Amino acid sequence: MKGSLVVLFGFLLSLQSFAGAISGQPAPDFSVMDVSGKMVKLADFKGKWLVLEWYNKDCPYVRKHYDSKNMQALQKTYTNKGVSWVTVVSSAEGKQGYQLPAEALSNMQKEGSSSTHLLIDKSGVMGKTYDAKTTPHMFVINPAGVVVYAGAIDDNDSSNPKVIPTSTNYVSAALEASLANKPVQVSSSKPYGCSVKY
Amino acid sequence: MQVRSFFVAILGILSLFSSIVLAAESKTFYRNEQAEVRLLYPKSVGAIQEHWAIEFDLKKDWHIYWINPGDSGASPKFQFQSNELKFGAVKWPVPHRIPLSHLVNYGYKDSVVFPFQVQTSGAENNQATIDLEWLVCKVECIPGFAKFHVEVPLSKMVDGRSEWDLKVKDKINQTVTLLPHENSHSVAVKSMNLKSGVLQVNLEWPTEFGEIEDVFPSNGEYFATQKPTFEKVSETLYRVSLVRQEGVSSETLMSPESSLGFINVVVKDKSFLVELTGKVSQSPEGAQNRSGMVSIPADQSYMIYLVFAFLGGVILNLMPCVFPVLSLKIFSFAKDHQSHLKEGLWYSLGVIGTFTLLGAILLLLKSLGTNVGWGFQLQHPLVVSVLVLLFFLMALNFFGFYEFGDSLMNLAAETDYKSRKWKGASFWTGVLAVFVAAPCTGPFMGSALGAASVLPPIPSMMIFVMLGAGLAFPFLVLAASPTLLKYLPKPGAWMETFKQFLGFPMLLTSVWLVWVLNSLLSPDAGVLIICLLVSVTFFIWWAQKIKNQKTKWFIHILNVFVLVWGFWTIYQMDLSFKGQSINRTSEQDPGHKLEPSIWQSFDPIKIEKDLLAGKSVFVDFTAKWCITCQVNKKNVLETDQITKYFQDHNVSVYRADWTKYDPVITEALSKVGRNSVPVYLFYKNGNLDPIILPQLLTSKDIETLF
Repeated sequence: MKGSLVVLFGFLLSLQSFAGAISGQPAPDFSVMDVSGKMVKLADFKGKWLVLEWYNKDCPYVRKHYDSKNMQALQKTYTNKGVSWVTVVSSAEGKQGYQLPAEALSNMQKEGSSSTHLLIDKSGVMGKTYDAKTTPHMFVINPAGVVVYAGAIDDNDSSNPKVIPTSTNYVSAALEASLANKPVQVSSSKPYGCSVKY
Repeated sequence: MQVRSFFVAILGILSLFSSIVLAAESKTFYRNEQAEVRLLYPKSVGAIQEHWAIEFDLKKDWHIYWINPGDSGASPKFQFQSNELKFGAVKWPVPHRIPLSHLVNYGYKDSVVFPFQVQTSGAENNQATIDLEWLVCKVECIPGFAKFHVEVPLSKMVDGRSEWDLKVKDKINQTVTLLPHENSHSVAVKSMNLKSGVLQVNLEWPTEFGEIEDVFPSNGEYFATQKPTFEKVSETLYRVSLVRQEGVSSETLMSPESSLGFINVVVKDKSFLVELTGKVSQSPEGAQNRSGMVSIPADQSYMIYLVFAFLGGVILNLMPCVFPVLSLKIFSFAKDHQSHLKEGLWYSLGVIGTFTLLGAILLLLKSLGTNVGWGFQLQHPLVVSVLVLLFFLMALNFFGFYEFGDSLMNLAAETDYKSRKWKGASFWTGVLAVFVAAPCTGPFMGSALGAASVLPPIPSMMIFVMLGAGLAFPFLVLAASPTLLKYLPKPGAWMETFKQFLGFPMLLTSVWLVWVLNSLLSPDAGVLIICLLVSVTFFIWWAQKIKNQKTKWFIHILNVFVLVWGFWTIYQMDLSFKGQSINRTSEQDPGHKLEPSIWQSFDPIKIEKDLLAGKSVFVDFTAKWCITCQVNKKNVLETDQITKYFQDHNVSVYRADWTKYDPVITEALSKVGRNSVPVYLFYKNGNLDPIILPQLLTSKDIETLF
């Protein structure tokens, strides 16, 4: 009964990972409205490379990558290569980063973003399904729907934009390797940034 | 003369001026809305190495981070530049766990002082620049930047010691004494072992240091923020189990290139920094891969499961569902004094065959990806409806309402060897016994079934076979041995009365199953099934009154027709209910008095929060169709005495209701190696390691938890 059954921490692990997108596993399904009123699902991206980016316009770490135009450059480079880029805002109503769809759209245009879709996940369901912890938190999903990278955007958690040129960008590394049919070196890292304001 | 003094004067003014300028350049304080940051340093620097420090004073409710910030945030960064001074690494005081919604950070509130060693090269004028970057958060986060510049002369004291503002020195000294001890000889890592998602660190630990209260890992890439568990393995050995970060493979942790970092081990009045060095081995019990399949455990423990399965099967014979059916059959054997071995064997074949078939179905469903558990048959309204009808018809048979010739329904009849169907009858009795036993999962079966669900196919099927063997065993033994049969009471008129009496437990089982059906669908379903029972009774009565064979057949067909229509309606009800979201609080069915209850519905996020706060948590995995669960609830869990006990000890109690299929609960069950109910888990004082309580609860089991 109590015997030698394994799984000491299985239960707690399950509390964390009963939801969650883990590298090497199929990406969880989602179904969220984007700012133009269209319902966007994971299945819509079948057959394409997909990047998910968690965003909060007031978070200093998001500002680090947007004020320096680093994120916009990534978006432009890879959407030009046929990769779909979805930006997600999981801030709850009244919390930091929350915007009504119209405001969010004009904000994104001001930022110069080339995102394919901007999703307003105000109930936080998509964020919690993916276990998005921070903004930014990045996921790269292959055409078969499997997560090939999950975690931080790069390897330097300073909020100072001047460190960007010397940081290793995990997202572009994963995409470059994948598009060249090579294995992804770093498939998982601990994300940094502000906590998602569920 | 005058010219010289003039030049001296100019030089004096110039040097005075430059020293004012230089002094104005010295910047060792920064303030913004959330924080005051200051450099703590001496007035003159001495020959020996000393601690300087940087102090952060934070606004109320704001916090700053440890070297491993935890799930979010970022640790402060210090960059020292100097030609004359050598700066050592920044030392980190013991952090606190700071929960933030569903995340956990490691950091400091109010104020914190970070000391670091400084050594002069002996220069007269020591200058240094310190670049600071930090993140201070309350809910939102605000980064801060400061650039300190400091100039300190070499000490002119006779003994070469430094000069300090006493208050400043005191502050640094206080902090340094509270820093975790490094390079301790008494506390060190003896060995490290990877086991199912966890890194077990075996620490040499002197008993006089007391019990470990908390452990913080410095490497947040590899280790998650769940509070580790501590287990005293022996007098001088403590086992700390660190939970791995998601996505970190065993290979990464075992490879020599990766530095696992250190752990800050905290006891009551001191703490230690212990480097995680050494080889990491993998647990010999076999790695657990993501699907949760465990490789075949050591032969010894597998054998134990087979034994448990067998015993479980034997005990099933005593369950109120099974006992009436079998006892009657056995008593019918007592009528003659022969061995009924052959019937016993056919019966056993029926039992084992059915169990094996059910096991195969379970495995098939599992391989197809459906997460099912034992008792899954009772989560389907149609199956429950059929069982309601079955038990009702058996009750009618026992009451003597009808006879069915040599069909399987006539269980109490003597075996008619002249009819060629006797083998079949025994076989089908065996099959019936298995279905009838399903609602009553007895003790032992829980863990055996759990093991069956994670083992590879062949060993798993063996467990089902043993269950069947256990169930069939007593019957087989009694059937085979005329001597044993002699000990049974002699047949007589009392047998008829006994048979009728046994009809009542059968009826009660039907009633209970109707209650289950109500929970699965609605009270309307219950009424519908009762109407079907009435209609069946009517048709049977009518058929008995008619002599004409043809009319008899017509009535039977009509009966079946009504039943089919009834079941189809129930099926439709089930379909329409499936559209609704799974309700985990289904303990509140309509018509139940809503009493304020301490029981919360199962919520993994809430449970995790409670555990992180150090609370004790009790989880009751239950289902309406599980009799043992209901008995435990009435006798133990919902009594005033135990309710008070839980409240007195501030235990958060959760109920996971598995009456209807629920993937979250199924997953949670499989994580503790089970796939049936009841399961009772107790997490003491925030400990991540649950105690699994017995399936048949007594008050004592609960009262001895603390």
